[in-house]
Amino acid sequence: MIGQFIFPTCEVAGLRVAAYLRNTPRAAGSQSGDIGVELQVFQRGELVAHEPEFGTIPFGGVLEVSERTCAALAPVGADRLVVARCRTADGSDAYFAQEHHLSYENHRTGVFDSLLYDQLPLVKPGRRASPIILLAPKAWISVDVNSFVAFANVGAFAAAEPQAVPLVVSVLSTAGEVLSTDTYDEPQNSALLFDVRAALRGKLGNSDVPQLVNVVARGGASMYAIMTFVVNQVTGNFALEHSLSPHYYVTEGLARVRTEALSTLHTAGAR
Amino acid sequence: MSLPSLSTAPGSFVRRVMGSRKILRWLPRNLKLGDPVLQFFLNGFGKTTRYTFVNFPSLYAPGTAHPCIYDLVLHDALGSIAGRATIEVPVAGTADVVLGDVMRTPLPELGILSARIRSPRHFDYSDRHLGTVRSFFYAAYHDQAMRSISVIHPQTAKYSALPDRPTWQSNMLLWPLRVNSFELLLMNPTTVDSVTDLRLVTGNGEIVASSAATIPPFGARRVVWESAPLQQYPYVSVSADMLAAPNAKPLVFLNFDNGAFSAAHS
Repeated sequence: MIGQFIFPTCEVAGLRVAAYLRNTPRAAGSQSGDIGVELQVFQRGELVAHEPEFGTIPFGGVLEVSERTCAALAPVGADRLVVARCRTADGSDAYFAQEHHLSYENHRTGVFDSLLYDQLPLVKPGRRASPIILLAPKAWISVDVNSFVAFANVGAFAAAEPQAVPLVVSVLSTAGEVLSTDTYDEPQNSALLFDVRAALRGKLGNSDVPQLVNVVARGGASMYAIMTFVVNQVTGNFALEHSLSPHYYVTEGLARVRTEALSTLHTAGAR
Repeated sequence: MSLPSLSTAPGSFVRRVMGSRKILRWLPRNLKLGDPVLQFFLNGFGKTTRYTFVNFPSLYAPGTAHPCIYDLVLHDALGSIAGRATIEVPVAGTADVVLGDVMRTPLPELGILSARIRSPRHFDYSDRHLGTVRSFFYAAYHDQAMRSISVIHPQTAKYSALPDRPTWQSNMLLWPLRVNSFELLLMNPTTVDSVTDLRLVTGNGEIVASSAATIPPFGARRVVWESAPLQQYPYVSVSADMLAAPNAKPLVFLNFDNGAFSAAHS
């Protein structure tokens, strides 16, 4: 069985990443064998490191993926995508669920935050992923506080192919007005760090009181892991949380949602 | 034949009178609502809470968008209702809510907030293709001026029936050498008392700290473990003999030596 855990490095946000890959019971009392890990690191779709036999996770154990264990995660001045393919010994290509621990640290202060989420299935060759719909009503900005939304995507190909659909990212005020809209043609196998303050270009964030905005996005054609960072850029402390896909909010009509969602936003003020 | 009043469910009327479920698809109805969703409330221990509620139906179905309502109920740590509020969220909008601004009652140091979305219209059929809508939202725990901040999504909804109570161990590693203390919040989202033994275990399964207590229905508890006695262990993980409900996992705050904190669902 196989799954892939994908995450962005988020170096541009001033953070260092470490993933702790787990091999834990997937049913009460169940025991499993070792999990072998193949590691790939991409920068804007280009494969910059590949370790087919990066390591093994024994049952109940941990395998660390960080700049301590993978040189390609050392600072390079750009955000990278890390793909850890986790495979059991049975050789099956069926997906298996396994939660892993992702952690980011501000090296200046030693403060870190963590996140648990499941590895993803592999993208089947020739199959196009559905466009995403993201709602991230958890971005604050002020003089001291900024927020970043990290879009990590993995496709079926190792080459830097563009996604079939661009990713359109808007920032909405609490009143529902669109404050900015930007379009990204990101290649597959890349990590995009969306800087909310930069996107707003001074329209908000000039107050000492943090103001909430909602980052919404649609499009793309790849498999995504999306997370939001809220960073106090004076203290270096930060929050980290993954996104909630539409499945969390609604149980039906997702095809229609993908077609209609955000299509009639009031766009006054957007670029 | 007299028509039912508008305050009765049209579905049950039709089913009773006409004996057909198919016709329900053609009748106006309100949003189909999931159970209220729960998240911790903190108003002490160096932390305060704000919540964000988004009008997601209007973003998912913008052609028929309308404002939405969130009904909020705050329970204290013993499960008693400490306050109520109703929030209207505009089309495509988001509410940034501090409970002290919308509830005119003394707020507890620890509790759980219940939130449930609804349409302001009594009958509304514009969103029915969305199926059951669930009232997910975000909580932000922060100190003064957001010098430290954590953003966490809810883990569980309210249970009206008794759920399974699984044994559980987190996949998250906690490093005693890197923090000052671990601060855990645990809730009971069910209608009956729940006894849970919360534990810290080492990588080989040894229990190095534990704390058992009864949490009343819709109540919460807080457990703090200092890291100093645990620093011989490279890492520990949180576990529980029986969670109150399948995903009623603890929220874990990491308190650092410099006064900062971060948090994660476990």
